[in-house]
Amino acid sequence: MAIAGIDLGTTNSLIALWTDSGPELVANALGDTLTPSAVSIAEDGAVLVGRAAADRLVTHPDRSVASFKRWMGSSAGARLASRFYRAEELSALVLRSLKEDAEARTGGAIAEAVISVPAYFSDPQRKATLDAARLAGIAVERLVNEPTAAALAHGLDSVEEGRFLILDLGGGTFDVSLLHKFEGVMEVRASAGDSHLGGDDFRDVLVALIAQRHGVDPDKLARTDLARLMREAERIKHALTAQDRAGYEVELGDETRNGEVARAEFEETAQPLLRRLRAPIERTVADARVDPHAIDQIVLVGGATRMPMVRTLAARLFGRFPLAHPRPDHVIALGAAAQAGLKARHAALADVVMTDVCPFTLGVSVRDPSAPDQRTMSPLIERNAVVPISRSGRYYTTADNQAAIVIEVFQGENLRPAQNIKIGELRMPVPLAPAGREGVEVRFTYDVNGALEVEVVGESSGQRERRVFRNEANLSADELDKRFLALAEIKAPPRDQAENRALIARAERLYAESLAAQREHIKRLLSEFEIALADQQLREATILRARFAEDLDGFERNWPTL
Amino acid sequence: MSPWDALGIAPTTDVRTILRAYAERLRSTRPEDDPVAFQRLIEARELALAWRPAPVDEDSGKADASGGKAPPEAERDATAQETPSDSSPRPPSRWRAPASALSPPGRRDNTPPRWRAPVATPIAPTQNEAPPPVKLRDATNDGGRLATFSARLGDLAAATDATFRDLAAWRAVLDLADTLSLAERETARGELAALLAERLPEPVREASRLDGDLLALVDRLDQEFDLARVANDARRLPEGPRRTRLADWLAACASERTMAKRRAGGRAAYRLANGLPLIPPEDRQPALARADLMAIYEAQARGQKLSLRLAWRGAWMAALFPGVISAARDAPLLALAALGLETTAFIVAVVAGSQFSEAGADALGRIEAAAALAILVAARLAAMSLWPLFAERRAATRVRRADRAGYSTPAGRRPILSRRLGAHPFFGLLEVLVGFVDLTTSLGVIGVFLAAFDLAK
Repeated sequence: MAIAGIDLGTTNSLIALWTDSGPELVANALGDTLTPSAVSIAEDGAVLVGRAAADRLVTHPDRSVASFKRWMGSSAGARLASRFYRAEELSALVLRSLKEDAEARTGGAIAEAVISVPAYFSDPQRKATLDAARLAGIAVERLVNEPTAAALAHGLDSVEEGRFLILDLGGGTFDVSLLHKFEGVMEVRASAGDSHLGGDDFRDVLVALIAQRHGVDPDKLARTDLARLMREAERIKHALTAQDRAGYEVELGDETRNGEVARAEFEETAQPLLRRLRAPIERTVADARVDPHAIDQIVLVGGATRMPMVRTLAARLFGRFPLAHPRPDHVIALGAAAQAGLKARHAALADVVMTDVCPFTLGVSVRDPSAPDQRTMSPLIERNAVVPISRSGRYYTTADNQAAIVIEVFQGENLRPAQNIKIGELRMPVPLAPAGREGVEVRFTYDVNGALEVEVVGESSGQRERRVFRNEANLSADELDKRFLALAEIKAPPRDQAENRALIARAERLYAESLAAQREHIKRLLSEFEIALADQQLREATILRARFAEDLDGFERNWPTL
Repeated sequence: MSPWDALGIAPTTDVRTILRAYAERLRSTRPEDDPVAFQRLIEARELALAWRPAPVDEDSGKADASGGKAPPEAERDATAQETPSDSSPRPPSRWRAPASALSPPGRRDNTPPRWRAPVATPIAPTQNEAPPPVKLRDATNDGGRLATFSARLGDLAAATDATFRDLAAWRAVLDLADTLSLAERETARGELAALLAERLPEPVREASRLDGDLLALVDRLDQEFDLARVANDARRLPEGPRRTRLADWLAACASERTMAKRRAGGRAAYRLANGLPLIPPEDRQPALARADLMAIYEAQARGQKLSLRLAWRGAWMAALFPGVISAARDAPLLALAALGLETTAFIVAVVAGSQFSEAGADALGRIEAAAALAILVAARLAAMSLWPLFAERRAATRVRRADRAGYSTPAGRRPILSRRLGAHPFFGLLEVLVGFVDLTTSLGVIGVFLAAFDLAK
């Protein structure tokens, strides 16, 4: 039975297994370890996940979707081929594909998995992730905070002890954690993050920049055009990592627009995003009560940290060069696998102990006549407290003959509850008495699995009420079952077909992106390939596939870069 | 039990020894196995790390890894202040004073919240009580950039009337802050927060409209300096009006942001995922006004099925006086419809009654009387089930109107949100009238029905 760690990312997802020799990444059917977090419904009703779906974003925008991690925990979703999918279901499809990859590798079932989530994921978002795992048929008991996973992976990797600040800028989220490693203990001192800031936002800056330059409104573009523009922006974003300038050519409407973006210009426009990167870093260092000079290493992980401006920012803040992790895209998955290994008490990790923190504040709202809405936060568990933790407070009635005290549970750092996230509420009846006479004791217990248990005890009645917030799903059990069955009906194409499908999707995407003469060429290649596939000559198909892939590679290499 | 007993070592200030002892104990006290013992261990470690044999100013523990190099003045300030009220149970700063208080027998229990109440106040004032300009001079940082930043901030503070008017000067200050290192920014943040808490004008709560420039400035400062953290930290700003004032400004910024987002999002932004019209939590009280309606809306917004009790809470009144309740509850169209149906029922009943002969009603008369009753019941059922929908939609329209008018403060929004039809004096009169029609029509219809079927005896 295998133990797995899953990085369910905004852009890419990965699965890693914990083995006797450490964490090991699993490649998908196409041989890549990175599976793009994209889902597309093919014309024959089959669901495509990964590279093929990402390519079909350009050619079939009405049947394909990506970056749905940003919708987790809300009721938002996408309509693909006339059926509405919630973010949980889309994530479940990705998880299912990862699970199949891992099972193909080990030949057995996945016994247990740990999935990583951004540190600042709220309770509903975490629940949505657990729901997605349930829909995919994976038993997940624990979620690990992404910065913790990154810290764990880096901590296991590095021989030295000391304090490491890990900055993880992924496709859609930014996470920071401070790890103190000593005597075999890995202690996460503090983490913070922004769950709506990532490489995608930098891409959108470029999209806006190009659109503005050509006087088009990105919101009014046709879906295909927008998808093409986004893809082109993504490409020059990558190109600007190594070059000072990058050219683009993109077809919008009936016109072909081209031009060039300088890195300096990109960095100038992305300034507001860079400013947002600073807050979580500063928060982490301050919360960990560590002198910035006492940090031994600053480690960059996550694909988006390849951008030079992110490195410059880190260097300027700390007055020294950060360390770029050699495998920035893989760290989280490796860390999640290590966490799974730790949880399963794997022998290889017998000497390692890890302690984590709860990255956000949990509290209740209390009456405060001076506040505009008369309410203010009373924190019980303050952010970056070492978990598991249990804290209690006493609260009293504020009106004469008050019949009950309502304990509203909030998560967040704002003084005003209205700006924090409400997790739930409990109601405790109290005997009628003058204001302030009757009270309750509220105890919050936050465990290593990230479940919050709230216990309320009436002071004079001794009546007890207890609720564990993690166990309630966003979707009801019936709803989950129903959706589980519905998803089970949607079949993924057989594994051996995945490669062909991906190649066809890629050729179609290239066709959509290129111009007249090249189009003809691609069309010919594609139809040759499809005819050969239709003949069902397996050996020949393999040879053809290799040749087709080579053709497409050659085609993309000679892509016009201006 | 003293922390030293818990760790199994003799009192020491050597960080390494303490951490080693902690690590050793931790292997047998894993967090997932025994949460209670683990918490005790963590607390013991924190107490041990904070312990000082004699009253010295600042520990070397914080700076141990920087190779003994003492951090600059400014940073030490920042670190020292972070100690008391942080999340995990840190010991109070008192801990580091008299050694005698620490000797094992003196410490009975390690219950955590001791540090909570008293600590914040004695420490914070030293940072904040001094007016910003004075404090700003003693930034002895070698960089000089921090000194320049402080001086600029001091200039702004000195211009008492125009502190928040000179936007160009603020931009210069912010650009300067961009070049600061992390530790310097921590100091800068403190100075900025103190200045804001001191100088931000009060009337956030009662103003109908906020000063747009000032709001934009605070918003930018918040984004750059994470002011929420400052506002929430009792150790930087003491409890009290100044702290809440900053929090209120931040809240105003946040609501301004969401409002702008709603406006930009168009129609779709005013609809919840389940199709319900959007009434944001802070607007519910003034816009919906009625407790039963608020409860119903909240249940619907959460996607729950309405319990019978909740539905009945608003519905019984509608069942008795459909016209009145619909008008009063902001659903004039519904009231008109109900009234129309009732009048129809009444006319049908009158027609039926006029045909009754001496011997009683014939078959046609009976059918007509029954039809009249059915129409009456239908009017009432419609009023019962539809009034929340109508009222919510009108409330949502008012929310949109308040957004469009650009009001983000409660005081500014309230007049628009609570501009309900039922509140108009004319409606008071109308209600009496409608109530009269309600009553007479229903009694008439019921009377005719009873007569038609000889049920009156």
